[in-house]
Amino acid sequence: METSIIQVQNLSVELGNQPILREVTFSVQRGEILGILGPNGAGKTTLIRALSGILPPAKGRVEVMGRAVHRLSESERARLIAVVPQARHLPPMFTGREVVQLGRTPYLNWLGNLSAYDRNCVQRALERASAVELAERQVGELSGGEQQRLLLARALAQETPILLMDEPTTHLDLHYQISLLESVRHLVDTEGLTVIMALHDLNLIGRYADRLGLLVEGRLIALGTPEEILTPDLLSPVYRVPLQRLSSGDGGRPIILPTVL
Amino acid sequence: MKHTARPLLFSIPPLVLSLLLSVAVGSVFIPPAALFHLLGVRLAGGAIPAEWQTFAVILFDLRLPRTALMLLAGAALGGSGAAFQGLFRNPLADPYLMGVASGAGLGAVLVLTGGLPRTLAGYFTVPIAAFAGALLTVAVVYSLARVGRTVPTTHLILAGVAVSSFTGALTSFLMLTSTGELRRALVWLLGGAAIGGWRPVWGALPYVVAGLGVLCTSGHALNVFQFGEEQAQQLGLPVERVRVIIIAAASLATAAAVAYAGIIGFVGLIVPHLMRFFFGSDYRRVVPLSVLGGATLLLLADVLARVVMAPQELPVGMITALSGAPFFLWVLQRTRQQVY
Repeated sequence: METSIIQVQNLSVELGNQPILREVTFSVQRGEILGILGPNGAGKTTLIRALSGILPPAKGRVEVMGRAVHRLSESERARLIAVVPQARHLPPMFTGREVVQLGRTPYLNWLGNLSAYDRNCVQRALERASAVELAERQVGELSGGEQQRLLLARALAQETPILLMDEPTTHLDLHYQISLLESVRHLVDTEGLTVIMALHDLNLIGRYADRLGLLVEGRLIALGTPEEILTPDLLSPVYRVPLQRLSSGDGGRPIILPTVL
Repeated sequence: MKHTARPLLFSIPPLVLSLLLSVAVGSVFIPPAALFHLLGVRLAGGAIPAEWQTFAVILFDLRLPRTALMLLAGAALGGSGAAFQGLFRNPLADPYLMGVASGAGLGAVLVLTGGLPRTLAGYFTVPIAAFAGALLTVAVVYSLARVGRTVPTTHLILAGVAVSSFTGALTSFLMLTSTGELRRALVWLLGGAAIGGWRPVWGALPYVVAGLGVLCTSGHALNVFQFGEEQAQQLGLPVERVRVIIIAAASLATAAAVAYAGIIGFVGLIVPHLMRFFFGSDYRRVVPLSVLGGATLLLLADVLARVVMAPQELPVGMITALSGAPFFLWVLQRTRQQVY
């Protein structure tokens, strides 16, 4: 029997009376990576923010392990769901370790004193995100890829069953894109984490996700395996570009390219 | 809080030195020997030698209360400046530039010109009125400056300047139309401890201690705020509640300082910058160190105010503005280059 850890029912979200998400329904199983794709302005970021509980639903509900997300307190939520944002405008004077320590916030009191367990947790998170060598360096001197690793480590330090990632590879070069997604895949496979990730790059997300959801104008118009979703028939009209599908050399996941290439 | 020893080592000696200067220096110089002897005698409860009787009066009735008041005001301004800068992630946030101080001033003048301070109970309501004025101002400035989810530096300062001019004009109007003693209110507004004695010290003390007590423990929350409100919320910080607590505490401390020591600008701007520059941007350190540094800076400015044109005294707010305004421009330059 499948256990669904996240259930989204009929979710509609408005920003300033403007409908952004319209009646989105899906569920996510424990231990899978769900990739969210869609053109610019389709509502990917809004979906991630709504799932993280910081945007209230206009209609419908988001449930995590049977509990309505927007009714939980901030700290209750942050013990269930961690968000890996894009690495932008991080405070430059913090050290890597200080950044990751803030992941313990939902477990700390007003003073924020860390216990031995918390410190241990931070160290393990740094190790799991391959960010140990960044711990004592200042954020301002790190590259975008290194900062992104710290944010992954910070999310892991929250010890949540669920990770949400919003375009985590946007400012990264190819090497860092692959290594970050490899890390995430490894964590999901070895630790049973559940990941929902919005990503622009069709082929990257197709390579690392178990299932893909296609978001267009705030509606989830398709949900399925990469094999089912990455088809020119489905995607060409959505991206308004003629697309072709190649099968990758080793018989793995399909690859989608604009026909002009 | 592992690395607090070194910053404290650098912060406490200057504070002690400025305290000594503040009690010793002025129109009459009290030599160190007399100073320590008098303090010792007073603490031990002994009799004061006849030849030092004048020194004793100056020391215990003028210098010590004034020093104590400047210590409290400087600490309040430094600590609340650090908290505002951290909360709004804005290097130019400062109780003075944001208009919080002039809002507090308006509240205080409303009560002062209303004739209330003639009674002792009325006297102690001044900081409460100032607190209300400060809170109202911060709410107005913040909502004017807010663009979506961010508070851009320039917006905050522009809104602060506008609201500050408005409340300043109202304050002037109230003072001109009041029948009270105008000069005293004017000196007070320029940041001079015009009302002598211990009463202002006792009046300010509970509010400053309460406000700074909260702020000094809020370093962790302010650290989380450095990543922006959205991430702070996703990290499990109850953002709305924390923001209200910190604004209220910082406004309370500012209001108490303004109510009894007048409007003193730029201390809350300069000190947190210096502390971050020397000791890093961990707000668990920045806030308490800014409390100490604010006290030191204002005490030194007050000493300067007494000696620059001796025997005439300048309002201390003039001294802090003379040194603070160029500093402000330098910070503005740095923010444009995105160094913060």
